[in-house]
Amino acid sequence: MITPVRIYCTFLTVLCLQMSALGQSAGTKKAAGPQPDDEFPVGNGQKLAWKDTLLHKRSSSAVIATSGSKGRWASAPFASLPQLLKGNVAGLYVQEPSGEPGTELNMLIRGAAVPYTHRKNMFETQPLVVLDGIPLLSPHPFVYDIQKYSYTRQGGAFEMLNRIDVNDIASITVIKDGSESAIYGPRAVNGVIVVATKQATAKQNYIAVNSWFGWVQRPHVSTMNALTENNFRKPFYEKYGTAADLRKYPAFLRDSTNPAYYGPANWTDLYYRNAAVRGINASISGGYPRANFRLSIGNLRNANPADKAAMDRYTASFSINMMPLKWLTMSTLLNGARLERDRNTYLRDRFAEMRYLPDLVNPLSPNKDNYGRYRSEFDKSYDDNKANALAGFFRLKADVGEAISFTSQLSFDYTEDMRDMFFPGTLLEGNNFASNYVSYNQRIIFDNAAHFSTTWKGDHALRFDAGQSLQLDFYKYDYIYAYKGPNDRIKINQIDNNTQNPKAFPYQLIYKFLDKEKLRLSSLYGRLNYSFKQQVELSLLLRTDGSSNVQASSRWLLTPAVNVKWDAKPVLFKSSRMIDDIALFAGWGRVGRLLSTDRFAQGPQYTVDMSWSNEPVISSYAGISGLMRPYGYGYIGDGISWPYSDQFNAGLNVSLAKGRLTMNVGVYSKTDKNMLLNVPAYSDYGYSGLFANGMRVRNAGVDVSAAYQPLRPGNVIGWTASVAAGYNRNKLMALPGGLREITIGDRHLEVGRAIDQFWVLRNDGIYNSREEVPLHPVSKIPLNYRGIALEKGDPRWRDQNGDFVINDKDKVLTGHYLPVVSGSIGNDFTYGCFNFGFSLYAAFGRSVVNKAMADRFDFINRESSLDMNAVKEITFWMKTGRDGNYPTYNPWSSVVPYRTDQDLFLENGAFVKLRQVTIGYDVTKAGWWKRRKLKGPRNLYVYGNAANLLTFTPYSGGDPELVDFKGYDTGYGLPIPKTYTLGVKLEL
Amino acid sequence: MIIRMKIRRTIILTALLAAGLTTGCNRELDIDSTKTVGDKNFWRSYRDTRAALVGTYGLMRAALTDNGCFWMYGELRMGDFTAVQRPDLDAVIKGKLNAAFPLFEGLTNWRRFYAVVNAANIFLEKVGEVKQNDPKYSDQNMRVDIAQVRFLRAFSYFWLASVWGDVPFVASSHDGAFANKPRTDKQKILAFVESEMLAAAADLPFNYSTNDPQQLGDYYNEPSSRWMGVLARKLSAYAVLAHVAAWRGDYRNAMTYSKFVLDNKERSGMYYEPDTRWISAANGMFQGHKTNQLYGLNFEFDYQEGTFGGHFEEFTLAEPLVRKSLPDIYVTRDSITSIFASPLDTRFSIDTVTGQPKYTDRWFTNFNSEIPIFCKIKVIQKDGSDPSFRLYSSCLIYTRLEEIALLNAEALAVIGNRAEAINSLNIVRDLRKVPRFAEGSGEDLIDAIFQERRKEMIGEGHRWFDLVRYHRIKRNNPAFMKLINNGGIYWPVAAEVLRQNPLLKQNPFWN
Repeated sequence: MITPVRIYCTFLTVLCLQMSALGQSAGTKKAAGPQPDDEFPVGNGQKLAWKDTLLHKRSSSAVIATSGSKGRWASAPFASLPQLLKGNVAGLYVQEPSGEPGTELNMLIRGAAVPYTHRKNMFETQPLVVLDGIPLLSPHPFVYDIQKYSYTRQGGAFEMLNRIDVNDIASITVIKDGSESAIYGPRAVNGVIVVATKQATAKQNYIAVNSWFGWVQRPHVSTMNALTENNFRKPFYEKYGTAADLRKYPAFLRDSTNPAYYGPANWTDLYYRNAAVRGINASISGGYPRANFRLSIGNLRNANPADKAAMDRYTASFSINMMPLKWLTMSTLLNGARLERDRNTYLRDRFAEMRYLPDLVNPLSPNKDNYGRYRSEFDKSYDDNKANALAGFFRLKADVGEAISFTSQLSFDYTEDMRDMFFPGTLLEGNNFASNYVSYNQRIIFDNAAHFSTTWKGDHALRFDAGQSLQLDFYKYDYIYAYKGPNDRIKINQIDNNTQNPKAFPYQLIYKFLDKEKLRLSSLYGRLNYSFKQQVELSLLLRTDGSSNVQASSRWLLTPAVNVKWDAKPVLFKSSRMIDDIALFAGWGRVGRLLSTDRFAQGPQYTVDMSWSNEPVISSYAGISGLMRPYGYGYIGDGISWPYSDQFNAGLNVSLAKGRLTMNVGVYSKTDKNMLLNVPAYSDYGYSGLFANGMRVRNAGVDVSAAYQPLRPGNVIGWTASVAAGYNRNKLMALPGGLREITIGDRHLEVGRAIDQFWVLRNDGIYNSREEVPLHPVSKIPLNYRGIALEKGDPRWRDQNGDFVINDKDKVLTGHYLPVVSGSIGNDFTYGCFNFGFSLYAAFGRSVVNKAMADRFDFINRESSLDMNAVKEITFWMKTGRDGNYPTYNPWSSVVPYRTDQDLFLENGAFVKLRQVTIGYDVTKAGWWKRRKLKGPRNLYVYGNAANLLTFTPYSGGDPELVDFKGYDTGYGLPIPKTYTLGVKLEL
Repeated sequence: MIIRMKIRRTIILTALLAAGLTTGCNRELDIDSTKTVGDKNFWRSYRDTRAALVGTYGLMRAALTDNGCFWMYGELRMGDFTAVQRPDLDAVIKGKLNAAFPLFEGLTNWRRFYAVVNAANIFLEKVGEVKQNDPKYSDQNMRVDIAQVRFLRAFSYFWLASVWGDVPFVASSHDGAFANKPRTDKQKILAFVESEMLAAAADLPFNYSTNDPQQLGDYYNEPSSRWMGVLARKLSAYAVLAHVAAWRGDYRNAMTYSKFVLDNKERSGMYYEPDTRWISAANGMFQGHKTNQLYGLNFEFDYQEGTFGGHFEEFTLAEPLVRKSLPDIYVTRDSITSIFASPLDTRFSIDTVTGQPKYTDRWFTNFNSEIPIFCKIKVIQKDGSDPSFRLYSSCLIYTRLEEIALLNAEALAVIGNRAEAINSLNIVRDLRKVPRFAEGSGEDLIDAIFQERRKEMIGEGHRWFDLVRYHRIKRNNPAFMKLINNGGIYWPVAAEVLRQNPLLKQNPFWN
């Protein structure tokens, strides 16, 4: 498929770093061409007043330079990029649905343009991460198509951004403005995070080691046994239960002499522990001005105090730069990682993987002895999760004189994800289970670009870049699962290579799946930059992208972007002593949005879609494969075209009082247009919906970041207070086909309202008797819920439209599952060779549905049927929330009083967390060290760090951060652990 | 010199760049998806008609299986089963069909039945293209395919009309240009169903791949064993026709159609099943595909079509048959003893001497516990030999000969042909060793026929429709007549469907 003869074009992102590393002059760098981030003073030997602060210049993109080895950034024990960024960049919201090491995290830059109706939607809103010019792969969610339950993605479900070792990062640039990110093309529609790794230092050989160790602390939880649960249920039976109901009283609560349930609730001794964490990274760099290299290797172990969950990471990174000819630069990078996960042991996740539920009458016992027996059976299972990632490039840059240069780059990214598991029959009524999942994704990119720059009369500078790229993506998985192997010793579902017959498991109970997706993206672009006296800068970008996922008739999308920057200081405030620097900027850009699957390019199509609820993978009748229109998936017609995002931004950057106060303010309005939505429609033609373009969502808001240094830099005592906060509101502007509102599952979208709202009934208490239920004034029919007359013990739902029927028309849109405001406050102090810092992470204006509590009250419905709702984890025996907040409804009522689509369980999910406290001591700066005049260590720094210490929240349940994509706190998710580490950094 | 070198480099690089730009990439951007077949690649050969035909059966199976709706609609409502503790099933049984449980969102949604209709419409519109493109696709093959597809479309409409009453009538695929439609009167729908079924019946063979004059040679190159009990046959169509006619109150035609089935059963290799144990055996009547499954939808274990959900076993089985402590639904001991009152009944009867049930592996087991287990259908995995794994592969049998015999008896009784009605009734009574119906015994004939249906067909999805027909005949139960007259025998329409199509109104009974 790849034609190596063909040469494609590139734009480069971090060439400046290489160039500077090669000891080139600043002039050469200027000519280096279209580096989207070269406006930013990063990694370029630039002096940073405080290495941990965010820098902005004439843009609202946030740059974080971690190249400094001290302070909060550099000593955080966070494994992944999203965790590192969390709260620290205005406008970037990072949500951790679980503290489990290595699991997927969600990043949102300036809100979400897609309403979340399925976990898949999360994948459509993640920003692009660019590692040294390589746009990294993000996982494809297509495996959800074969999943019966979508709690977690099939396979290893790794957060692949764990692949980047924080120690290797020189700087991170978060590009939020569409006018800036447009150069990266359609993958950049959700913003871009540009990661530049540390580069070789030409002048001297250099060795750096960072090593830390520590532990995660076992949380304090209050447990309960069956007595508490019994007492909790008693009032319901006393008030509403009949003798027949009492006869059905659950067996595990019935016998108060049973030590398994009524004994001491000490399961936590087996479930929680203090666990060790550690990290080490060593790097060496060296060489000469015309050839140099850097090599870095690292290992990290991340752990959670709960459920023995952990992740190990091994990383290696190698880069080499050469100038074989004076006009030719060759650079190569290889960046690899291996990740391994020890996963949680949730029953839900295990049953979901097995697609089978055992009898659930007796839950796990809260007692250590019984629970320990279960765990020892569980330990006989096998659950191996691995992921590998390798990215790299080979880059040629030719300088043809002062004005013209060419760059050519071949880059690739490859990730694979493997999960092998086996559960013994003792865990599932004698049926063992084996499954194997292998997936790999690869991306190959051919890039070529030409750059031209010139200046005249000293005041005018012009730069022109043009380029072309072809990106080839391939995503594939193989998944096989099997039930009922002959015994628990054979843990592998082996297939005979010759006959293709299974060796051990019965062939009727072996299920195989494979799927692949290809995505190709071809792009052409040209950009013109003009600057006058370096005060006014104007840039114009035009690009066109063709995607293989768009139908041939509308395959190409032309997108422009314009940017203006003005350094106002020399003109307006030349004489002002207060204002050091002030820059204003504005821009507008259009960015295409990639369609997620190759189905859309096919137009009307036939596929396998003959399944029913809870049986998603039926593909044959009478053993013959059937084909039909995609009734369950949704109709895909002709004329599906590119969605795109129009983004406007403006802002300013100020530095006051000799840099004591720096501030960056950015306002934006981005409107995602022509978005494709599966509109529920045409049931009468058999379809669950119809894919149609036309949804329009606007996100608007303000990002503010500021740093204040009350004390003059260079003092013995230094203090920097910083704040980063983003305010975001979204609004649905239009729906396909001129619709005003649609309902997808429990989500309701209404034009003019936000897309992230909950759709709930208003709850006003309880009807204590039938007489309290109002009667229709004419018909004298009592107020009813969808035709069911409300009774004593039913909720008092507000009849919004006064028709004496409570139904969907009485539901209101309220709350937001995404925060309106999120950000952080940091304080960093230095005293001599000590430094101390802490940060608070906060989110406001978000709501959480306490589903865990709703489930607790809805025990009648949940325990009556054998489905996923009836699963009780070991954490069932944990006290969370406040029972007294809720009325005692009749749990047997057919209106399902404890339903989640009412505001009874909707709570304020705002929080403030003390996320990180750091203290460090710079040994090499200390007087006693200096006096020794040791020649060896250039830098020696010891530090301690504590993370996730405190949470302040009005939320009555557990950690308000541990919610799923819909804003539901399901009670799942391992705690985000309190982590304490000590480390040392040594540079030679 | 240096300048010239520079210029040359510039030229070379520019040329390379230009080459890259112009050989652009449109060709690389055309990719055929591996998981779907675009319209341009379909309806090319007989393989496509086979896939589409089988797909339509698959959709019909999905429609009737989703949420166990075949039994929810046909068996549970006001039937003989009681819910153990599931409040949603209890609501179905008590007819509280507007209850707020999640189950009802699925049961009230008719989408899957319309998927069958749409798939059939597309087939009928496109099958001609295959005829043009593929010389191997014979006229006869096409005629039989079309007959089956028309049968399935009519069958799906029959379900729509008998569950929801008036429903939208969609007679073409409207592919890509969908338009919402209002409801059409159920009588018109049923008339359409009957005429379509008759047309289909005319073209359907008695059996497949057995050199039936209407289907010569191996159907789609598969032997008759492959198709036995899998596809709709001529008698399947007549059996459904008998039901359609009876539901319309047209008992004369019901009699004709059912008689055709009974008279021609040998031509399809069918016979009355004398072995009661065999009906309920795990490897018996309900297992796999068999010729005596007059019309059913299969779940072949050996083809990996066994499923955890969607079978009646999912609701009825429990310890000791499978590892599940309690069933979801059961028939109370009192009901069992009152329904199966005859001491000789081979389906279930109490030994008059010991007071113990005579058969513990047929219709019921665990009779002596508070919650007996209904175990007439129990195809656990392939043949029930391993109870540890709740994967079921029983065939969803819509009708079988014994049922048609009783329907024939009912039709004859209603049109006043008592003697032949009694004959037909006694066919089943003889099979199950129940004393023959004797004229003058004081037993009401209609009551006796329906009681026999109740015993023979329990758990096979007929009870509710029987009750409706019974009360339409008897007209002696005011409460039930109110249901019939006010549309309460029909289910409410899902809120989701009503939201999508503003031309639809909720069934007034459920407003």
